[in-house]
Amino acid sequence: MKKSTSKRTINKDPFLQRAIEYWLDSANELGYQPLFCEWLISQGYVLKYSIRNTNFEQGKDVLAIAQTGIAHAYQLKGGNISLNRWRKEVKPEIEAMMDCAIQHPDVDKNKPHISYLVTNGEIEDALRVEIVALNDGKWSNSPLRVWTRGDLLTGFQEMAEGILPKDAPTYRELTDLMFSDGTGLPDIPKINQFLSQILNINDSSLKKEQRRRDIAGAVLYATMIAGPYRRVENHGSTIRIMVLLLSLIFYLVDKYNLDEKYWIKSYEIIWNDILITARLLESEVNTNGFDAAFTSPFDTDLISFRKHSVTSIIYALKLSQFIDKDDAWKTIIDPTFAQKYKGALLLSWGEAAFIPLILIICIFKNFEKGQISALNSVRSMISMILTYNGRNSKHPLGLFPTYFDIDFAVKIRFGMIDQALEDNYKRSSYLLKPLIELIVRLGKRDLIAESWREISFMHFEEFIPDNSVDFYLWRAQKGENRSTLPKKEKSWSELIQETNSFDGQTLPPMIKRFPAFLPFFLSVFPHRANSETIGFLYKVSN
Amino acid sequence: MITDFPDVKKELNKSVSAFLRQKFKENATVFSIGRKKSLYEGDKMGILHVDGRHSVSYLQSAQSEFSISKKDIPTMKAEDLLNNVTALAEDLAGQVEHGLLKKLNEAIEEGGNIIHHTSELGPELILNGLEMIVVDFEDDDRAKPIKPSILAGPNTIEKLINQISKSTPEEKEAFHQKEQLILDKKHAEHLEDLESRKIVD
Repeated sequence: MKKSTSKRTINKDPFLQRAIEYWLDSANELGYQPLFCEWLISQGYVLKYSIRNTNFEQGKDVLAIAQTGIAHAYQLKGGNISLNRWRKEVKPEIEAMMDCAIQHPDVDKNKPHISYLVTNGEIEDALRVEIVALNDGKWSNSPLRVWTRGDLLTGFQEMAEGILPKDAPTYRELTDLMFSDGTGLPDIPKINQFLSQILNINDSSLKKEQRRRDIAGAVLYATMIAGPYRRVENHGSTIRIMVLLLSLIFYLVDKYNLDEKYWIKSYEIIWNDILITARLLESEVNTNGFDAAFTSPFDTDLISFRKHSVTSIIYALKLSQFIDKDDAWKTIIDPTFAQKYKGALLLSWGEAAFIPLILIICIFKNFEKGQISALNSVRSMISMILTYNGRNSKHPLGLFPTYFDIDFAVKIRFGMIDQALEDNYKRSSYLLKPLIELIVRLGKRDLIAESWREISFMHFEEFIPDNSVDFYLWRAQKGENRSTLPKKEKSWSELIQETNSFDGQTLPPMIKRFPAFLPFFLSVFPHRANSETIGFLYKVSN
Repeated sequence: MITDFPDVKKELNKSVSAFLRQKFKENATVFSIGRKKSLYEGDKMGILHVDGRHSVSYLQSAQSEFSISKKDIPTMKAEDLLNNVTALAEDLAGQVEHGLLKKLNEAIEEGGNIIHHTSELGPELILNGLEMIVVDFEDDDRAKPIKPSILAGPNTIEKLINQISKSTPEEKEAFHQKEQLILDKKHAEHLEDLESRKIVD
């Protein structure tokens, strides 16, 4: 990394230098991998893949092609590497990386590749001597190159220069975010504000090259902000941050019509990171179940919220895999899966709690046995909405709209909301209409007919942004909060016609191009679940 | 600078804001009794009616201000600040109520629910009004009609209360019977309305 080709004048920002140093020192290899890939791209490499935790990597975590056409393979490690660790853990992987030809359609496996050992720590002197000896000996044809903490630091610090927080309060925000308690949920509104500023989302005067640099900068900062969460393997929260980042990048791409060359590699890095991290979360639940989460007496009350939070990500992963025709989705039909996640969604603070169920219904509706379960789930959700928000509800407020997330739900549960709740959600719902449409798609007229009397008293709520790209934003400034009043007497054929009209047509291009991202997006942005998004998910999950 | 107490000031500011909200509610009666719905994004509200009409209204802002001269701050008392805040709340409440009543009036006019009369607000007029509106029944139970509220100026309400207090038991019974007859009719309409809510074709 010290061999950077950048000729830009660098105005070093001491705060930022130290912040990156702090972050790098506390990250593991998975934590710095996305940024490492982003750095390779910024140096003109063409990234071919970055993998973790598979049996296919043959020692190569990252593969990139240099401008010279030569393939470069990288084995990433975290922390210091002693001679002992080298011999037990690292050397076998390095030998696999050096000896096994690269298996990639774009790479000529007969040509030698350059191998790297990369760590954010240091390597012991004795090991350095051993590597030099190996490079002079049996590895002399293709010696191992080693990049350590200092090399990574230089590269990452260089990336950050020129993409700085604009003012002192934004620096403060960064500090707060970087030092947050990684065991909880990330402060999405705050991170959104920070990343939006780094990405200059509202500045239409920027050149596309600058956009490319802004995206790289945002990856850097998002990786740093995700640092505390990654450190404690809080995968769910890490994913939320990366999903937010990707949403903002989608916004930029669609709003400013950016060509692929400005963003595709960043997209791949972030998307890959989201999938890898989600699989780690799934693996954690598979290995330990939820019982390991009981660490304090308060968990007796909190565990249902913690389970729900995790399940919403796992279900998003499963639907995403299903959409991408990745057979890994099939774990969901394994009987042990149902056993593990049993009761994980038994929460009804608000309509946002229903999102994971809606995601899973999009898979189940494709199978005869699953359809029964899907219909029962939709029916239960409709019944719950009508019970809590219907005209005869005795509940003081009703189910909260999809704008209220699980963090709010926990605070409400324990009386920690200091604002007065004066709203009343009786006779209104954000998800009732898309849920009715799910039943219409499944052709079960009777199920709608039995509830239509009560449904007809409801107002179907939705937000329609003036500009379709604002769909990706945490909050859009311009748009209509629309209440649709259903007809008392509704024709079934009209209902079918209306339902069929919601297939994602009004969604912006990037989300339609990458539909597998939508389940994750809706898990973090539940307020974007509506007839259009759910209709689109239904269509792409056939 | 002379060391300050920013956290204390922040807490005091919160208290003043709470006081402002409280005073606002006291002065914005209609606003306070109505059902409220917060908006989380966007700049307008729309309704897609059953007949396909789409009405959209932009959010109206209400604003008011007061200023305190820097030279007055050293001698200013807490009551002075609260008086200013109270006046601010009254002004804001007036603006919000005015806008709300204007919209309400437009909707009532559009629905043809205006009764032109020369007499003062009294039992007859109330029954006339009841005849014109849709009445809901809790749990669809005839015994639990959800009666509307009366909104009027303080003088009108005072006169109405006087009128009721002076009415004889026979007059009260007559009013009650007429009201029950109307509610019987309304309940029948309500049940008919429930029956009409269905999926057809």
